[in-house]
Amino acid sequence: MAGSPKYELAWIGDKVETDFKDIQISAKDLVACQGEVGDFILTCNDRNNPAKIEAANIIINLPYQEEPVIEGADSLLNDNYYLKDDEPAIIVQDYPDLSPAFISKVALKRSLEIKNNYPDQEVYYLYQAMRFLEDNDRLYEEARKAGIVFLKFDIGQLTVSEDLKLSYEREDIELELAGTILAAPELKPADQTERLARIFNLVDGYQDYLQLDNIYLQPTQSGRRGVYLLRGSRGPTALTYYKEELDFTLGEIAKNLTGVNEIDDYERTIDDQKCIVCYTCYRVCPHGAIQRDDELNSMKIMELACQGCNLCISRCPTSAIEIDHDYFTEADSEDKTNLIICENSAEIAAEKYNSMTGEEPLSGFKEIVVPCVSTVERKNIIQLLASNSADIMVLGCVAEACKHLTGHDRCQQVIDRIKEDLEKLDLNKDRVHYQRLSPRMATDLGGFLADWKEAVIQ
Amino acid sequence: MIVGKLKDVNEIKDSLPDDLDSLLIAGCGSCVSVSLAGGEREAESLKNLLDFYYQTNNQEVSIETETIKRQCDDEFLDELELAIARNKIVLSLACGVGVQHLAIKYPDKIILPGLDTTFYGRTSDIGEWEEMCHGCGKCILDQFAGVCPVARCSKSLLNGPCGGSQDGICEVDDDIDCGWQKIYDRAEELGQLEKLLDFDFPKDWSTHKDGGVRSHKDPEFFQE
Repeated sequence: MAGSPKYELAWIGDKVETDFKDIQISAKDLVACQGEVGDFILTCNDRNNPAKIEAANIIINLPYQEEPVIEGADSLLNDNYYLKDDEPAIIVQDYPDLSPAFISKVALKRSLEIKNNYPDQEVYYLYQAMRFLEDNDRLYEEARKAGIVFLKFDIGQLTVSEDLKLSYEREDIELELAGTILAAPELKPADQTERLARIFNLVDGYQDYLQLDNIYLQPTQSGRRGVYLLRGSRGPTALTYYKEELDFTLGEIAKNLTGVNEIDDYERTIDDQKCIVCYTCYRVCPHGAIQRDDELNSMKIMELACQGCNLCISRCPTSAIEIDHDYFTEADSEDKTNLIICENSAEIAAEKYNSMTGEEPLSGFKEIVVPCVSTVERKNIIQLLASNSADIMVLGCVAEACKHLTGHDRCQQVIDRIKEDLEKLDLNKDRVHYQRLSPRMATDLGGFLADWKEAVIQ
Repeated sequence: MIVGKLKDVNEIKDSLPDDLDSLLIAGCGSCVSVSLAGGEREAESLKNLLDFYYQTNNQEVSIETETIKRQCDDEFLDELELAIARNKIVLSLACGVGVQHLAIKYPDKIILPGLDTTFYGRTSDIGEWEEMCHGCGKCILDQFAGVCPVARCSKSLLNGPCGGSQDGICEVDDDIDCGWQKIYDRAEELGQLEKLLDFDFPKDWSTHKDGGVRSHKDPEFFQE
């Protein structure tokens, strides 16, 4: 784009000082994101910024929304609180639920701040669990020495009345407390989060945060390469190691700026004559790797963003997406169970099992390795069923270990549909099986396949 | 867009003659491909499933598939000619329009529907569609803040909701939003509530089903 500035990094939301050539964009002003890592094009609706901004990387850094858990109490995170001289200050860390770990630090600091500023003030600190990260143990010790009264409670041992009186009841202790309550609020995703999920084509995560609970995304990756998540866009515990996570992210961005490689060697192409621009591929892609090519009026795969799961291929209604590789060519005519395994879970677990025991857990099966079980289409399964009389076992991933985020569920949908269809035709649906594993579940895999061989094959 | 839903495979199988020896499954590459019901992928999956069914039941049936861009226009049918010539029976995965267009063009063939054509709708989520229009022949969206009372009120009421609207939900089904709630909310947002105070006379349904089978001609292509 001629004349447009090119930035190394675009901050969506709050900005942190860095050495990168960067730009800050308000989440509200952002309306679209096209392109891929190294070459994103952000469309903004802000008169102070150009309408189109080119950036190589993106950090979404939004504050949490705070929701009070005790009606009428002050927020522990609010620096402007008012204490009455004749009333104790009551810090409530974990009511009614446990707060994220970083809240311990905030609460300890707040209690010390009060005690230091007002030495005569009584300070109570109510908590369910104290998290000792970083220098929390020092702060805790300091707070105890300063005379702050720590009261640990379990669920049900602390109640708060409408007029803000606290009843603390634990074994032989019964206390009625009243005073200025500073309570840890419940943290919720920032209010623009849902919009941003749509703009960046990200899969919504736990409690509608932008990051799923997934080992491949930790600590700050989103499903889309080059898009990073911090604080209130990432998840409820993101502030605990905020500094480390920020450092990691900036390190990743520095690496990206020296070049990003494609993830696998296969070539995936969209036939522009067959593509009907139905957006199914765009909608199912867990990595935001597909966009429309306006010139061709066809969808196109962005090579650096694509992570090779093949979900777009298996779901394209017009079979317009092709790959120069066939995972299912050599279906076995012998009566060996066809074992379709994900290279990110079962294959790794099998290798681990082998190095642990010396046994080959996959021997005796016809093994078909796929980059993600979302590669599997209904037609593949039916073809395998027709090729011999053996069963088919698909070994996918547990949700948090699915490298392609939704692949495990997409495959489950395919398997469920096949079973439903087989049953409707009075065909044996019990020949098709689906199991979920993680790469760590080597023993489970070995044991499971050994039992399988014994029960089914022999 | 016309939305369709693939029929249950047992219903499809039951619609085929017992002595079937060959079958063409004809996919349609437009609307019903978008609604993931009648495109090449569905045609291929169905072929494999039926192949497997007949193989398991020791019946020799030759099944082929061919998917064309649209089954409702003559010009696209050329690509089907050879496959149609080879098969007496065609299972069309087009909407009801495409199925009948094939039947008109190939009167000596048995053209069977593989889909249920459901409605004119929009994609509301991945794999989910919502009815938006009944094709009533006289669009009144301008009067109702852009929300169609004919299609989106279960009773097609034009003068406000019935008594069955509760918390924005239609009494017909808990999964259906009350169309009139949507009309009200949108009109309020747009500052057009006064428009809803106009009394609507009974709609002229002669442009819809009451007027019989409909057709229309573009005057640029026809002389009086």
